[in-house]
Parts: sequence; C-alpha cells; structure tokens
Amino acid sequence: MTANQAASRTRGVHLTTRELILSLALLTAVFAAISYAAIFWTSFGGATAIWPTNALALVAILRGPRGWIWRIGVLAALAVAMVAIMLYAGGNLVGALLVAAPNLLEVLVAVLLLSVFKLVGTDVTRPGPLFAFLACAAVAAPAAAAVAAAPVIVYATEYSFIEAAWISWVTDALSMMIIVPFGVVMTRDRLAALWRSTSDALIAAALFTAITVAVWFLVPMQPALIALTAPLAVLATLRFGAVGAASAVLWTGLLAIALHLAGLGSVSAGDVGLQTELFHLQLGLATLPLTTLPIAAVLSQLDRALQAAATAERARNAFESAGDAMITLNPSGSIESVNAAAEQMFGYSAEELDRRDVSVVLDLAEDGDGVFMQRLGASRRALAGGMVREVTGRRRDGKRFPADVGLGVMNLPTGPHVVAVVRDISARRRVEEMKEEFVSTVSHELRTPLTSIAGSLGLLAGGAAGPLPEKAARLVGIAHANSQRLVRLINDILDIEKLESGKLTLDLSIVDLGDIAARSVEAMRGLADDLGVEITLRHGEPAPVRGDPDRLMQVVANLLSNACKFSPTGGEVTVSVDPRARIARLSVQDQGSGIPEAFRSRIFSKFAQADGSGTRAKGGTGLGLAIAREITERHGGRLWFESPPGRGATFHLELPLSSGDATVPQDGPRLLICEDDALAGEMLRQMLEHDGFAADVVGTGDQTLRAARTGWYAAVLLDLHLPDMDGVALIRALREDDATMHLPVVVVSGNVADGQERGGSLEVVDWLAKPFDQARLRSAVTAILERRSDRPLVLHLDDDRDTLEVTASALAEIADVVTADNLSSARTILSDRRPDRVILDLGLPDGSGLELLPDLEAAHGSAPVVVYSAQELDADLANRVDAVLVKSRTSLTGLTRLVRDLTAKSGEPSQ
Amino acid sequence: MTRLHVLHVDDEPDIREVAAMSLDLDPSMSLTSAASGAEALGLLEAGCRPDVILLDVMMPELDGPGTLARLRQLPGHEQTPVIFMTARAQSSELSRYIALGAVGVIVKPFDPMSLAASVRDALAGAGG
Repeated sequence: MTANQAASRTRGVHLTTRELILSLALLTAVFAAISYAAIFWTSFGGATAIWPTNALALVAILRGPRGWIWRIGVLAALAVAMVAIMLYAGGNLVGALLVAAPNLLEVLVAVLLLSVFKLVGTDVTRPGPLFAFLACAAVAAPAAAAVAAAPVIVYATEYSFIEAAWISWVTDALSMMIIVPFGVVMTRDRLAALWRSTSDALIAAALFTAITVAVWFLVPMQPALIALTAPLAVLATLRFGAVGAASAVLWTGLLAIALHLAGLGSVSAGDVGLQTELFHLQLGLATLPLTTLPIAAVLSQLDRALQAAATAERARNAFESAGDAMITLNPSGSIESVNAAAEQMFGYSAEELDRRDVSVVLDLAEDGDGVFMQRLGASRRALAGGMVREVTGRRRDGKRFPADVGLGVMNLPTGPHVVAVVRDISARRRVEEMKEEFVSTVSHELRTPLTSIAGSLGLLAGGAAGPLPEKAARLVGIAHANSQRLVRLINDILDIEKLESGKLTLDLSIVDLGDIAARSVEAMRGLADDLGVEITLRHGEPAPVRGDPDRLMQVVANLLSNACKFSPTGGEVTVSVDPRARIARLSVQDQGSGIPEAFRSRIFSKFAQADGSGTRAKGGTGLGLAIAREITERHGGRLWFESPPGRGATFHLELPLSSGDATVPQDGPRLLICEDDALAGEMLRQMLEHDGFAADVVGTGDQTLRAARTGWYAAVLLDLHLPDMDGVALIRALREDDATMHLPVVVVSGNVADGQERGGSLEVVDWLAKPFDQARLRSAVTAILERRSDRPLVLHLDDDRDTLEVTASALAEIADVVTADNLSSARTILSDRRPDRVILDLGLPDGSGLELLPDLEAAHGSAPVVVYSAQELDADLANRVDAVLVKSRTSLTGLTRLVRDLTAKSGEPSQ
Repeated sequence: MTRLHVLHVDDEPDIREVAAMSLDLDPSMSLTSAASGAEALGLLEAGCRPDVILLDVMMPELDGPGTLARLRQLPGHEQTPVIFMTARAQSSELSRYIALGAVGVIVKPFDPMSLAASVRDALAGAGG
C-alpha cells in the first residue's frame, strides 16, 4: 500500500461534516430533554443552594499542592465557610454543623476516589478521563454526601428519606459538574492562549455577548427557553474546546444570577420562591456542561488527530516527493509503504510490494521470521541515530544493483516505523571502478616502458655489456638511479591514491613493534651500509600492537631511510622501541643537521622536500612521510618529530599498545601459531578461524617466545622445524620461563614420532601429525581450552550415588567434579588427576575415606579436604582434615556452601 | 647449479630482450622467448619442455592467466612451474595470481642483475 492509503487510514479519526452535524443534533436533543425534564420537575423545594462552595473546595484541592496538609487546610476552610453562611442565614450552630458535615464528606470522598483511581492531575479534556473524573467527583461523591445529609433534611422538612437524598444528590452533583471541570481545565496558559489571538478573542466576545443578550431577553420568559442558549454554548465549545465550554457555562450562570437578583426575571414558571428559583437555575446551568463538555472532549481529541494528520501529511509529502527511493517497514520487516521513486527503482508497483518482506528488494537482513531489528543486527538506538549500509538491491526483472541504504526511524500516526532510503550507487561504483582501472592501467602503462629502460640501464650499469668508459658509466648511473626513482614515485602515488580513496585495506593482526623494527632494520641495512651509517636497534619488552605488519614496516623503513640519508657518513641511527602505559613508541633518532625551521610545518605534506642540498639529490619522492603519517593514523596512532637545534632529528611513531584483555578483543581465547612456512601457518590459522578460534602466526622461535610472554595466548601450536631453533629446544625454553611455564603446547609436525622420541619428557598437550583434518584440530584445541579453564577440580568420594549426584549438580557452576564410590577408584583418579578440593565419606565398601589422606598428600600436598560422613571424627583425626561435616547435622546445601567458600578463597589452597 | 631451461612469454620485444640479457648473466640458464600466449602454447605443443615458464600477465588476446589455464591442459605440463610477471603490483592481485597456481610473481620493473636469482628463489620457495 502507498503512503496515500496509510494517510487516509489515519483520517478515519476525523469526523465528516455529516457526522459532525449528526452528533451536534444528538447532543442538542439530549440537552433539551434533560433541561425540560429538570425544569418541569418542580416538586422540589427547600434545598439550600450553596452549591459553589463544595466545588470550589474540590478545585482548590485538585489544583493545589499535593499532600494532606493542604487538603486538610482546604477542608477546614470549607467547614468554616459553610458554618458561617448557615449562621448568617439564621441557623443555630448545631444545625450549621449538621449541614456542613455531609458537604465536607462529599469533598473528602471525591478526593479519595480521584486519588484511588489516579485521576488527580489527569487531562480531563480527553473523553475517557473526563467521564471517569465526573463519575467520581460528580456522581459517586455527591451520592455519599446525599445519603449522609438525608436524615438532617428529613428531620427539618417533610420529605421522605428517599426524596431528601435524591434532592440532595441532584443539587450537589450538578454543582460539581458545573464548577469542577472548568476549575480544573482552565489554566493561565489556556486563558492567555485564548486572548492572544485577536480573531479568537473577537469570536469569544461575540459569543458571550450573544449569550448575554439571549439570557437578558429570555430569562423573563418561559424558563424552558433558556435551553435556547445551549447552541451558543455548543458553538463556543466547538470553537474553543473545553475552555470555551467551561467559560460559556460560567458566563451564563453568573449573568443569570446577576439578572435574576436585579429583579429582571425568573427562571421558574410562576412564583416559587428564591430557593426554588436558584435550584432551577442550577439545573438549567448543569445541563450545559452535560452537553458541552463531551463535545469539548471530542474536539480536543480531534485537534490532536488533526495535528498528527498534518504532521503525517507533511511527512507523506516529503516521502512521496523525495528523489530517493524510500520504503517504510513494520517491525517484522515487511513493507508498509513505498514512494514513487522506489516503485520506479525496483520496477514493482506499491501494491505488489505491500506486506512483502523487504528481502524481496533489498539484501538488508536475512529473510526469516525474527524481529527485523534482530535480523538487521542493529539496536533501536543505533537506528534512531541513523545508519548507512551498502547492500545489493534486486529489481523486478531480477537484475541486481549496489545500493546505499540509509536506515532511520520515522514517526507515523500508526507508530514508529523503520524507514529505508535507498540510493542506487551503480553509477558511483562504475566511476570508482573506472578510476581504479585507470590508475591500474596507467601504472601498468608507465611500468612497461620503465621495465625496459630500468632493465637496460641496470644491465649497463651492472657491466652486463662490458666495462663502460668512466664518463658513460657516470651518466648511465644517473639515468639508472632516476629510473629507479620514477618507479618509487609511481608506487608512492598509487599508495597515496589508495589512502585518499580509503581503498587501502589493512590486514590487521597482533604484531610486536620490536619485531617490525628489527625486520625494517634488516631491510634498510643495505642502504645504511652504502651511506656508511650504523643502525642500532634497542628494544626490550615486547610491544604488541594491532596492525598490518607490511604497512608498519613501510612506515618504519621510510623513517629509517630518511634518517640514514640525512646522517653524516659514519653517523649512527638509533631505533628504540618502548612499550609505555598504553602506547608502544618507536623512535628513530639520527645525527644529521636536524629539520630546518621553515620546513617543519610542511614536512608531512605531499611532495614536500627540504630545499637546497636536501633530499632531491638523495632520490626521495617527497611522498614518503605523507604516506607514513596516513598509514600511522589509519592504525589509530600518531607520527611526529622532535628536532632540537644541533642534535639531529627524532621521529616518533606511537601506536596503541595491545596488551591483556583490552586488546585481545571480544573474540575469546587466542592461539599462537608458530610455523616457519607462511602458507602453512596461514592455512592453519584459517582452519582455526573457521572453528571460531582467533590465532596469530609467527615464524620463528624467538618471536614465539616473545609473543607467548605477553600472556594473552591460551595455547601455542608449533612446528618442530623452525629456522632459528629446534622446536624441542623452544618448548624447553617456554617451560623454563615463569610466564609461559604452564602454557599448553600442541606440536604440529610432519614427523611426530621423532618429536615424541626427543621431546617425550616435555609437557606437551597434544601431538598432531601433518596432514591432519579439521575435526582432529578442533578436538585438540577444544580440549586445551577446557583444560585451561581455571575451575577447580573437586574429587568427591562417597558410596551413596545419590549424594554424589546431588553434590555434583550443586557444584557444577563453580567446579568440575569427579566422583568415586570406593577407595580404589579414587586412587585410580588420583593417579592422573590432581584435585584442588576433596570431599571424603568415611564408611566405604573397601575401607575408610581417611585411608586416602596419604595418597592425597603424595599427589598434591595441599588440597583442602572436607569429611562429609555419618560418623563423628575424634579430635586427632579431625585435625588432619580441613573441615568435618556430619551428614545428620549438615544438609547438602551446607556442604556445597563450604566447598564454595573454600573455592572462593582458592587460587592458593589455604588452611 | 642445475641447468634451467626458461620459457619467457611477453608481448613487449624490448622487455623480452632485457630479460634475455638478464637471464644470460646466469650461465646455467637457457632461454626460449615467445611473443604471445598462443606462440608459447605452440612451442610447448611442439615439444619444448622448459623447467619454468615466465609468463607476462597483461598480453593482448590471450593473457597470462588464460595461457596458464590452457597450458595446464597440455599433456606433460600439468605441473610445469609458472612465474607470473606483472606491472600491476597490487597485493590483492599478487595473491590472486598465486591462487591461480603460479609458484611466484615477479613485479615489473624487475632488477635485471638479480632476475635469474629471483626465478631460482621462486622455484625453491615452491619446493621445486
């Protein structure tokens, strides 16, 4: 369905003109019926019309501060006012108190009911809350008061109890209806809003004038005619909502009272006395809110719907007219609406896509039944902030195209919806591909002739064509060096292009910056020797960083080559690597003349080279440092320099240190692979990755030792055949180092038999013979990781299988439990496992559990022992164990708690 | 050093000549050159049995990878080591060439003085 249809559904909330006329007619009829019924019912008389006081007190309580002090204060004021009025009217104190009491009760009950139903402070301009409010304040509370007041009225008059209660209820209910909603609804803001707009004020003034005139002329006539003011009140209500309704009621009432008191007319037919007149007036007024307030409530609702519809209309217009294809989705991921651009993009009509899953047109999320957010893998909050995904779109004809999809949340009248803005990026892709193709082609086209030129010059310079005359040799040398420079320039331009277009992908792994430095120094050794410069490398602690080793080497090699080129012959370039608090710093210091002041600000710019005697002669491209800095920043690091006058230049490369859990990210246990054949290592790594294990590959024994010492590998998989040391010697070295003493080692080798023969005494967890299959590797690694877990091992010896089972399940969370039901099987267990905690029963089929103590001491001197037995132990024996629990006195819960406590203190078994 | 018969395939005559002179520096190497993939395949069919084939990647009509695929069909050449030569030195492409079954990649421009050594290194690295 289209947005159009969606919007029309929301319009259903609106009243059509016909509906509006019908409801107005109905309301007017109800109003008239109630008015006539009330006004012709003239058999009442004698009820004192002190109606506003209760209602005013209730309004004061509802709008005043919360809390009982204010409420009691208002009630007290009400009581005083009522007693004063009664006394003034000539009653005695007892009578006054008897009249005041039911009125106090009424207000109190109203407040209680409103509090209980949580209607205090509710918005009575909405129909639901309004009717609930009136039911409490204007129906139930006056009923309670009427029942209480009836005996007094019966005593003072000739009415029956029913009549007295009825009269009392009608008057109080009506007064509550008239005053309270107005008092609650009217706020300073609403009044201000009413008068802020000139046209509204004019309309209001006209309406009230009309009401005034109507009352003026009508009051002296038949009282039923007061009903004719009702449509005016309805109009005021239609125009101003609840505020208009309440204002009209109050205005009409006050005018009627004033005119009547001025002797200008009667609201009752015939001479019925002041009290009856006032009562009739009250009835007349009460009918007004009965009709107008519901209208007001409906209108307020309508107002909100209109506003929502206007917002939706704007959103719909934006949606429909947007140049980008837009799709709104419901929470299950099916399509609610699409705009014209989307119809065009996908080749489907809106109807065809209605309620289909979004996967029909976009590879946004897996097809399925799950909640769309989950299928999308995005949180609601992430979505609210907006996100962009690159996905594949599918047209009706089956053609696929690359698309950028912006996802966000849009509030529609039917609730928040996920909105997808789809942009076809085929053209952009084509341009990107063309650019890549162009760069690639140009580099090829340039390199092809360069291959011949540099090749020929290289052969000449290398003497392949025989010795050259001295001058020719020099010229060929210049040409050769510059052809080399041209090659470097092309390479650098390609690098810069890749960096700037964001195409440079880093192949990240955990690498030791010290190792990178060492390899770079090796690579630069030739250049340094040619220039007569000495490179010294200082590095101590491993400095693990997350980075692309090739690219990091490129950076370090660039720094080194610069340092060498600017060093005087015989100078020294010092490379140092220091892991610091959170960063690894590599510094390259030279003994050159330093960086000229004027050049410092430009040194990292493209094609920046110091003038004069500087780099040009040294064959740089002027791109090296720009590339180095880009690569560094891509690694989340920084590159800068220091050049104190006369002390050479020092370049610092800082990268975030990867240490401990902070850097072995989320992917759980990490494995270290030591394999000198890079391909085999990579294959192994991929196999492990396939099984969900992260791993890093190192190629030499030295690197293995350094990486293992970082402490964040769960195990080492190593080949016995290594370039720099024998595998068996490496394992021995690992075992001798405190940091790696317990690191599990799996030997992966082509010749396991030989290794087992030579390294059989070494603690090796597993031997994998090459070639091995994925399942064998997985089981070996899983076994290690389980073994590595630091859950304590509990040996439980008891001849009661139930006890064993229940204890084992109680301890399952915190420990691994092995069980034995006789001494000999416990001894068998001890022969190859070392429990950290032991629970012993004494009476066993083949002896006493205590007989196991010597075996335990032999196997593992310090494991705490708990005796859990039906028998008591004598003091001597009890001293030989850590705790004694008697089965009849200690529940299993007590036992498991004790073992838990011992475990909590663990690490080092105590006691 | 073992004698090595090299078949060099490149459409650029200048590069063929430079490569020929470069490999000539190693007296134990003998060289046959071909100017296209088709010519190389013709030589192989005619009974030429090189120890290693140096194959340019970018050639008109039949390119390097295409030539490799064809020559693998020829009886007796299922295992003949092939080294690609390319001026497109992007790392993703290098690994792709290895994945195609080459024992090595030599990036152009190559160092003429050490071309022969590079060829021997690639062969040694492949265990050949």
